[in-house]
Amino acid sequence: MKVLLRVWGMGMIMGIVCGCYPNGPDYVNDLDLVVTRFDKTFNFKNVRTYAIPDDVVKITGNASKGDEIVFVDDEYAQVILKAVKDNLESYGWEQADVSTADVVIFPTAMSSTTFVWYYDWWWWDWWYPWDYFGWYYPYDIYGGSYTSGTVFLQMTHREGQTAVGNLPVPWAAILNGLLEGGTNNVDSRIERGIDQAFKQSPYLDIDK
Amino acid sequence: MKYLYAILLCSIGHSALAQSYASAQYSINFPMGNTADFISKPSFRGLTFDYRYEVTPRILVGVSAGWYTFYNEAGYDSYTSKDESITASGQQFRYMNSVPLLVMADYYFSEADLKPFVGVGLGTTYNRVDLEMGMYTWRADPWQFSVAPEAGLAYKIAEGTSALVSVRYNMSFSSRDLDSQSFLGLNLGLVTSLGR
Repeated sequence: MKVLLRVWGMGMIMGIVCGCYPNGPDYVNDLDLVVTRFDKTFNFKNVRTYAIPDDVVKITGNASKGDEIVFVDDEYAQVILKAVKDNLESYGWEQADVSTADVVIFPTAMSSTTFVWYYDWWWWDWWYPWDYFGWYYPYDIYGGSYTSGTVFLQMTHREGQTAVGNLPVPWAAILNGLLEGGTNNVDSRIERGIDQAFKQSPYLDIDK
Repeated sequence: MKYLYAILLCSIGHSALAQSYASAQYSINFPMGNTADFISKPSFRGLTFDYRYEVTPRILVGVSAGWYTFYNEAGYDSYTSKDESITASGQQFRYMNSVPLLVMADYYFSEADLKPFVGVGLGTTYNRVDLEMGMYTWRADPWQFSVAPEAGLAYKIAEGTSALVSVRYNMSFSSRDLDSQSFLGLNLGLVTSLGR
């Protein structure tokens, strides 16, 4: 009976140790997020042409207060620009000069680094007496940092400019994810994210 | 309420003489109602700890505490706001950790080795609901008023020790941050006598 009770007790302790988050993201792209927002009062059927810059601005400081403008590396910028153009053209839009285009798309990007250090000291206490499990680094300790990246796409409509010069944004997309992995991996995730942003914005399809 | 108060008073009066018991149970929980809408998969991560003392050989009162973890990977999907102007797409991970703390009263139908019983618990449950999408987490973690009716069997397997199987319906009522939550638990455990 004592053996039964001990086995039962160990089972209970194991159950507690299992923790409250049994699983989670396995891959970097599991954390990718695409958010789009549009102005429901804006009639996208009334616009047909767009303009887009040749570079993607990197948000690093406050450009309006005189900080120098920094651009995203070309290897990433070209992926962003091409994906936006391809999607707009598949929805029937035509690229035009900035002076005549109905809307202007402003792509921008930023990155931020968050430092993480976490240690669940209870973990070590639970396992210390059980020598036969050997000495190993408990998985609940980890440290380091992660860098996340965000791409913003903002569609501005010149004709709706307010008296104080603000341009309305009838459509915007935000792509957010971890900036981990090689250039090819990041590029393909950006491209996939932009495709998804347009896929979930069917109102941009002006031919329908 | 006054009956519960009377039972508790009787229990305290008898506690010096009464037999008391402790039990540890492995709990499998099946989500129902709003909980099932959020997480459809059953939870195989659950523990319940109970303490009882005899008011009479057939009436036991005590406390119960549990910890149940529900998890569901909802996959990649798009979610649109009520006004349809905002759409978010990503992989969703859904969690609910439920920790009920209940005052329990049980009635045993027999004093033989095999004892069917029914019981009811009243108390509060800490329900922490996490919805993870991208690198963001939406969390609601209220304490909710709870009721937990239960039915089960205890079978004496040795002097002072019984095996226990029970089914408990855990119902937490709606609070400001979170709708009502409910699940049906199957508990398998051992009960041991703590003496008088």
